[in-house]
Amino acid sequence: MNLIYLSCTVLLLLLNLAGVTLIAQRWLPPFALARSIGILLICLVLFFIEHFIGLGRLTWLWPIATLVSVTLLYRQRAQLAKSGFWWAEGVFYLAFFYVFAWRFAFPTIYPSSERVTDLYFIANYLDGSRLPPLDHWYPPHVFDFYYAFQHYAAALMGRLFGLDPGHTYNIAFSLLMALPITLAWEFIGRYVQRLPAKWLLMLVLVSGGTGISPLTHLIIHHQKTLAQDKIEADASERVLTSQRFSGILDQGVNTPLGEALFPHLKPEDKPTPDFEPRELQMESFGYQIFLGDYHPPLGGYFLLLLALALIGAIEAQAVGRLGQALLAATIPVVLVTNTWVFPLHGILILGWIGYRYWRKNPPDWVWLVGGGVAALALVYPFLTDFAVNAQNTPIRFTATIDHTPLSRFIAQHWPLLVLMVLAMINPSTRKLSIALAITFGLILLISEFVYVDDPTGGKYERANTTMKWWGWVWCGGVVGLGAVCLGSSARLVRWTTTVTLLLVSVYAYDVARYYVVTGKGDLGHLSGHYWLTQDPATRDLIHYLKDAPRGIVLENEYGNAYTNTTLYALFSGKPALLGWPLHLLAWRGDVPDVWALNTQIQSFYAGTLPDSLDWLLANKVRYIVWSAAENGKKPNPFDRLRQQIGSRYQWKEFYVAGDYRVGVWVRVP
Amino acid sequence: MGLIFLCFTALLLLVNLAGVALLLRPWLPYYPVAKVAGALGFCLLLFFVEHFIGLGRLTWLWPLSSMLSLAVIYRWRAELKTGLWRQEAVFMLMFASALFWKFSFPNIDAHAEQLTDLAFITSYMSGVTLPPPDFWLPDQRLDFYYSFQQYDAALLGRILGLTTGYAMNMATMVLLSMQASLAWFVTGRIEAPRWPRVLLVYAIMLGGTGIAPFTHFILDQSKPGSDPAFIATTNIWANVRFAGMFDAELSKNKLTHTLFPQPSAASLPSPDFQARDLPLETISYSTFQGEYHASQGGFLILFLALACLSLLEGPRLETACDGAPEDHAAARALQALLAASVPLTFITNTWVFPLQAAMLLSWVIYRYARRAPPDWPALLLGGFGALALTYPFISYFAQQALVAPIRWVTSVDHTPLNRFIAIHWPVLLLLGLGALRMRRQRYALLLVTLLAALLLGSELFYVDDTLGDKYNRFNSALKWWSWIYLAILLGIGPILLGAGRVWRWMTVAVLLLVSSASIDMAAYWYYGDKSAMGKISGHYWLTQDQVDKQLLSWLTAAPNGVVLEGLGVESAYTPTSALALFAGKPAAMGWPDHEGQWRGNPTFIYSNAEQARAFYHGTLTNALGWLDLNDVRYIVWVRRDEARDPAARPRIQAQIGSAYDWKPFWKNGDDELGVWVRRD
Repeated sequence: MNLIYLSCTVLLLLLNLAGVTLIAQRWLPPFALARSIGILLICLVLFFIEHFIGLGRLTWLWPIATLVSVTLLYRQRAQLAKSGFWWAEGVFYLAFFYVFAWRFAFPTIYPSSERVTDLYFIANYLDGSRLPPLDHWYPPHVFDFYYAFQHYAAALMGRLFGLDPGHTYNIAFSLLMALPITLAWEFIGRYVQRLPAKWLLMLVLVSGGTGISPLTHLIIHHQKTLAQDKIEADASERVLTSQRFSGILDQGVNTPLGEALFPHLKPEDKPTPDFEPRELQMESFGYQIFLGDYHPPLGGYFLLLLALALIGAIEAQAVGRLGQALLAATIPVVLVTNTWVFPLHGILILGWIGYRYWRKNPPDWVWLVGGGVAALALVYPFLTDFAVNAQNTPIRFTATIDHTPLSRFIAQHWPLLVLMVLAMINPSTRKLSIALAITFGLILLISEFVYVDDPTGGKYERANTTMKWWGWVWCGGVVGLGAVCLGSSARLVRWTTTVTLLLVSVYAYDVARYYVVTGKGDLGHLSGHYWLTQDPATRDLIHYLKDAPRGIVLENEYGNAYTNTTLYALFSGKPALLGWPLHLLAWRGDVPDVWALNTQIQSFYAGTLPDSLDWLLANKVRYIVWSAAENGKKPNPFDRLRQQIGSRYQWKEFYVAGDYRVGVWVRVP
Repeated sequence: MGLIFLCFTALLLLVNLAGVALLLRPWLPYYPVAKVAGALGFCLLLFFVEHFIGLGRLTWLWPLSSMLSLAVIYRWRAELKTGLWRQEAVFMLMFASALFWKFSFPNIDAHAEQLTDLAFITSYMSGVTLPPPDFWLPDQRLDFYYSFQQYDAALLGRILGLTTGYAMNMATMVLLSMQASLAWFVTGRIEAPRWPRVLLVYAIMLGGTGIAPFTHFILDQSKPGSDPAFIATTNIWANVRFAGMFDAELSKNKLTHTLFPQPSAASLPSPDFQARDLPLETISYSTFQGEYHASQGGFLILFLALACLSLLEGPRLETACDGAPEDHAAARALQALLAASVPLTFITNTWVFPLQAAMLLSWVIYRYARRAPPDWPALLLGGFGALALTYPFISYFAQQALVAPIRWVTSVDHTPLNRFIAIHWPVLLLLGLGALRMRRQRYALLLVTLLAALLLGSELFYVDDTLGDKYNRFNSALKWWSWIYLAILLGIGPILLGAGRVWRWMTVAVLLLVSSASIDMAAYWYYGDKSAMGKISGHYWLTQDQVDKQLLSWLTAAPNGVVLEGLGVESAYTPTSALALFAGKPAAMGWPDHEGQWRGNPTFIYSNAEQARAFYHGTLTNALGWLDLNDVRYIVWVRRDEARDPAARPRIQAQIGSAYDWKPFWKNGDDELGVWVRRD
């Protein structure tokens, strides 16, 4: 049943995207570019419009759009067969279903990493109200402090096809990761003709690791075990090692080779007595597929590869001046998608402009400026709120103590450094190769000498910066430099590149092993809440809230972040009175109200909040969730609460066994 | 007056359905097929649209559609005069037959699934954006059940401005007449005299299972105190519920002892083993039960698919189109229709969706084997077009429907061989005879292979739903066997009837024996209680009581709101919710057992039922709060509530009097019946 629904949904989505591609390719002939630009423009224009008027439910649109798509496909069927459209679609389907296979196997949305946060961002936009929307973690405030364009785009897809938040999340993830793959294929195809070389480069992009990947099995020895949970943990750690080596997993090396290469930090070598190794992690493109977070780096990768594909198409004269306008347009879009990499994206475009001047073929400034300004105008309504409310995070120089240890830097980035050197000596497409090498080299250098000073500190001082920047440099570097080097006429360049990429792609084994050995208990449940709703009472509660009239849901606070708080509200598409306080603090700065509310909520659930009924009414709470987690406390506050609020809130029970209860209090008129 | 209204309603329906058939005639020149396809297509289109926006009342539509129909009829008057009228006459005859039965037994009461169907229909009658609120559980939506057929009935009611009960009964007549007219049409694809064709349609519509000819010999027909109507009812039930139910109630004689020896304790697989209840429900049984249930919609789509197949593959294809030359466009339309039948089955009777899909798939393979590939654009257009129209429904349904995986049947759950043969011997014989015709007729090869495989599959696999033990295969057998049984009768039956004298007589013999079940139908009609005759609204059983009648009338006119009715000890098959449903209002309390089973047995449904029971005894603490939570506007107090606990009413009044006004409809001393109405 579920499979039929999923198949229909995916089919409809792909059909509509084919229609978008066909329309956009009239102005942008390369199919991968047409698809991505088409989707981006639709989202951008509606993002603009909905800052003036919320369009509400949009499900009525898909029948019309589908009809248009089918008509286009039918009318152009003869040309499409000849034009390579179906090959391009094939690449897209392959990419989509590869990522989808991951989401299908591991669709759970639970409080690990930032999945719940992303679900919350999406849920904010699913209502279809005028933007900025109500903050579902902090009503009645509005959600205007985060660069969440990609979450808006996901919600738009969900609104079009009438999807619930979880399905929206998982399907949007598959789509957003598939599009960059098609763009990379498009770009690589301009320089690399041999299919095995193209596949190798794609493998490195989609499931390749870092410089440490070929070494992980030699420097960290794990006990062989037959216990399933140990096998899963080991597989997961192998995947993590390549990404989170410096400052985290390098402390776990336990073989003679590992200890020789990466000796543990001794107390006498510490710059200060309380010094902790700096956590300098990166999250590559392929790692994101494993991680499953629908987080802004995904959008950043998409725009990066879109820019590269546009550069490739512009240089190959496959697109007209419109390509330059679109290239410039990516810059403002990065600002609203993944602000962290906005400077890097800007440098990339500047690098291309410099390259054009070097070639004595300056860009068309009218189109360039026009594209940039037009996109800026479209995101301007968002920026008016965002610029005022986003946290101030200045860029600073990296302190000596925070630098990456040289051994770790080389161990992690040597493949990228090799590609840069090879690109510098690459005789074919020489100027472009050098421009790309300098651009990405400069960015890598910058990432070591400056960082974004966010609220985290200590060993995490640069964590967010490296996480966002290194992954971006790797993605662009591997695709950009890898393509020009693999397409080189010099055998030395080609073969050295091939060997380097082969070593990096050892990581694919770790990724595949993780996919195979890890339990798939939630297989196919793309709603993301199967892990919760296997419990019938929880299932019934969420189902009830889903159909219930709109209103604020109160859920207990179990900690400051990464807890189950607000899951009932999010999965049922309702705002929660308060989300994760620590995240709200990170995004909104110091908000004493959040901490006060947090304490009040905990007191309320303990039954010790004075005037609790007035407090609920003042906060406009309509539903109070009493989940399984509220039971087993001594003394049991349930009866006291019932006494306190029973005059205005009626208890609706979904399970009871003695004192153990699961249900919801509903405000009655 | 009632008769005049009924005649006019029937006339309107017939005119509009004729209009639909004629409107599609340029593309689908097979009158009964066009009629069914057009009606289903119209309903599907609105079903799709109403998932985006509820269209509310639709009574404005029938004058327009009737005028259009009359215009179309006028346009095709020449064809109608020269022979097409016969096709319409067949449909009218079938409609008259169905009307005859429903006119005699129109009650929609608490037995079988009549009120269940009424609850679905009433939910859809609200005309809101779909899925509508579940009128048996108003704070949740009706998104868990394959209820396209009930939507169709509600649509009929909304267009003609009928009450819910009236709509259900009229829809039942339309459904039965469509089934019968399609069956007649399929038999018309063969060269055979008219009387065997009549017999085949008769056997399908009024016949029984293989056990039918034996019921009078193996069951006690002269139980003391039993009236003829009860005996007829028993025979009709035994006909469909033999294995695992009536096979334990056989009269003790030599025949039963030989055919169905009772198992000894030692022969049982385990000491607590219970014989598996394995039913096969025929159309005649559903007609007798007065249900408008999903299986019947599934049969209609099966017959439609068989009609398409008989046109595409049948022996008289070259003379198809009512005498018109073969039409390539019509062949494409038939293939599109065949493909569309699969998604349609999914939303009508999901249980048989795999069987319908298997039929389409095997036909495609058959076409490739014949080196005459199907028309893929037509198949894709029909299949995916219908799928797209059902998608909005599926997007809700797939997430709420219970997960019911298909599993192997364990040895303990298999049908005992003698029971299997006793029930299925008519179709086994037809399959055997059909197999002998396979070399001469390739179409027989397709149907025999497919249906034999499906029958075998029904014994090897089952759908693992919430039922277990004795009822482990109950639903699978009920849904699959019934479908396969009718598919063999209507699929292979006509081939054999048209194959020559010997084949025909053998088939006729089988059909005659199968048709013997109609003797009990006739007996039931003759001896059964027909006091409700002509009361097509279906609530005569309820409104015989003048208080209930007044209450129903008042509730119907009252503003919309949730109605609470008393619940006895039973959690299903009780009159609870009947007043609300007939008044077109949501009921705070439906049948808890049914709601529970559909929704994965959530405990809150049963605890809410307990609270409702406590409320009606006046012992529910915080009664007002509970009413608030359930948004109850009207609380009905009728004779059965008074009988259950006569002292409860004053207690309830004391509890809720501050917020609800008591409106008495009957008073006798301290005893009062009536309704509490929430003060606004």
